[in-house]
Amino acid sequence: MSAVDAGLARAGAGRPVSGRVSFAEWLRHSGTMIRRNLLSIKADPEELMDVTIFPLIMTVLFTYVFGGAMKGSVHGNYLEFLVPGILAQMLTFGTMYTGIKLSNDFSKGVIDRFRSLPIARSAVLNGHIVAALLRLLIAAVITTGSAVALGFRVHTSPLAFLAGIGVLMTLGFAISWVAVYIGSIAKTPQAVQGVGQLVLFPMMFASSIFAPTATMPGWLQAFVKINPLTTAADSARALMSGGPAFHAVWVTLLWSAGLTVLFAPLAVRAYKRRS
Amino acid sequence: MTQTRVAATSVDAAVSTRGLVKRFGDQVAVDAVDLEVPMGTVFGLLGPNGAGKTTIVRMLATLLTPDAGSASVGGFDVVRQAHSVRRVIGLTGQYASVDEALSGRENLYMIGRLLDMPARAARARADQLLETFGLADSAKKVAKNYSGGMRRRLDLAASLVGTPQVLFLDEPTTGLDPQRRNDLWDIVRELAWNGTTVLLTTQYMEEAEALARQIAVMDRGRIIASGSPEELKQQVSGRRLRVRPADATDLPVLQALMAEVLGTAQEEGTDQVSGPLAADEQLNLVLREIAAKEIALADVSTFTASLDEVFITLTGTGAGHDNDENGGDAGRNEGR
Repeated sequence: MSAVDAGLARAGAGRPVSGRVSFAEWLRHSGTMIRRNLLSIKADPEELMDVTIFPLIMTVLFTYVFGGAMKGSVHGNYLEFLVPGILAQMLTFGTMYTGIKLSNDFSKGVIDRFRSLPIARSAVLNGHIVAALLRLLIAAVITTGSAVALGFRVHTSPLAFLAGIGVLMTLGFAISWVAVYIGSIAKTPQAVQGVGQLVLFPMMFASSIFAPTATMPGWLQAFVKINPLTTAADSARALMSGGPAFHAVWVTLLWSAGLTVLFAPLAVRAYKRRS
Repeated sequence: MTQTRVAATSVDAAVSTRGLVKRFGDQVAVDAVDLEVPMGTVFGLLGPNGAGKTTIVRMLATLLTPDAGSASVGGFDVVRQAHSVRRVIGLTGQYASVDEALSGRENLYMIGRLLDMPARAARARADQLLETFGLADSAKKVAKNYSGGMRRRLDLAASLVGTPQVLFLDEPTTGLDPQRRNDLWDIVRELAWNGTTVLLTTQYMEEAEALARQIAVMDRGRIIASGSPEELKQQVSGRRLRVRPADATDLPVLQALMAEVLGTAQEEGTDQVSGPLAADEQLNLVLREIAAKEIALADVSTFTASLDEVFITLTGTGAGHDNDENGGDAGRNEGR
């Protein structure tokens, strides 16, 4: 068996056996994991549906169903109000998918395979987090492109638009750690989905994503105002359509930092502990 | 052959454990296990579901931390030098899997890259293994569309990308049809012949007997017997003599005659008699008596008990009839 022989030569070459992973190796291992997660989109295009088709349907539906009724209660036209909101909404199900995939890796035994390899321990999580951000970026491009076709226009500047995407991605990064945490502690991928929907649906609707908050009752407004999805949507709205952005951006970044500082260590610990 | 050993350390045991213990809650899954697997041999860890085989493999593969005792693989301690252990092992098991969303080729390429092979070498290695395992035609197919046998071969190929010195095979043929199983056996023999140390867990005596030079029989977390397949059989029942008369009506006479000489004898099936052979002289005695009674014979043979019988004698249970469905090694409740 030639395949076996070839390897013997490698073992015989006296490969240095060390207990450390160099920075170059860490980078390569993480890169390989990112590639792996992106390749799986090719095998499972439905994976992107959550963050492409779904927002698209929402955009079209909300624009034509609510757009008329909303006229007057939003500044400018509803599409311009809605699209930044939809971009913020993507952060929820787009990142929850990462938790589902991680949980799947655990239950299928893929994590065991990786753990028996001499690779950087963090590579698997790095791969999931970075792939989640790339998936969000792809989705943002598709959503913005389709929105432009429907009549959406950026009224600020390309730079401000990119800053808006940047703020959203920062929060996406933070929520990805929450997703990784849930993916590491949940017993099955279905449980991740269940928990995710339970938390995300209220957060998504009790926000400024789809409608202005002024007409909501006071108790709800109290929640809506601190909801990071509200501040993320408001940030994107201000940076894309104009208006004061400072406060919303600041609060969103604070949320991102807080969630990351809390959940990244929790997620890493839960990931390491699970056997 | 010899050059494979160069990369290893100077110890001659590829795998060695001392008083290895793993508990899950208050259940002892692995109870003070000592193992010694010589380099370049196939070692069979045999036992029913829940005996603790998989738990041992998971500790040796650095996936679980032992609660007590020590273990080394390729001369490296599985706890203190886990990273070095990972450089010399391959793992194929019920638990370690390939990525179902990737093609066979992408899976092997990915592992090559994770093992720090240059891209070109990783691609070449992937293609070579796909060829060896008869997966070249399905190289671009996503692994979740593979048949069970193909999946198993891809799993095995994935654990061989880095050409491990020590290969752990956790129940590698469970669920395979006989043809696929034999193919896999051939691959294991080939690997061992080329110098790879293989630690194999199995519920099937037949498999342990076909592949392993040394076998350890496990039950409820303990090693209850070990040795070569021949030694194990001798240990339990030794040799037996089996005689088939030309005429089945001679069976009762034959049975009485053999029982007299051998101490005991049983009719087997409808046409033969067998009894335990304590010494070679008994063979002559039996044949002389048969000749004296003028019984015509169709066949005379000696044999040792099958490993299945050995196993049942040792554990008091048949293998593979445990009701522990998920194969979880902590699954036994009845304490001893």
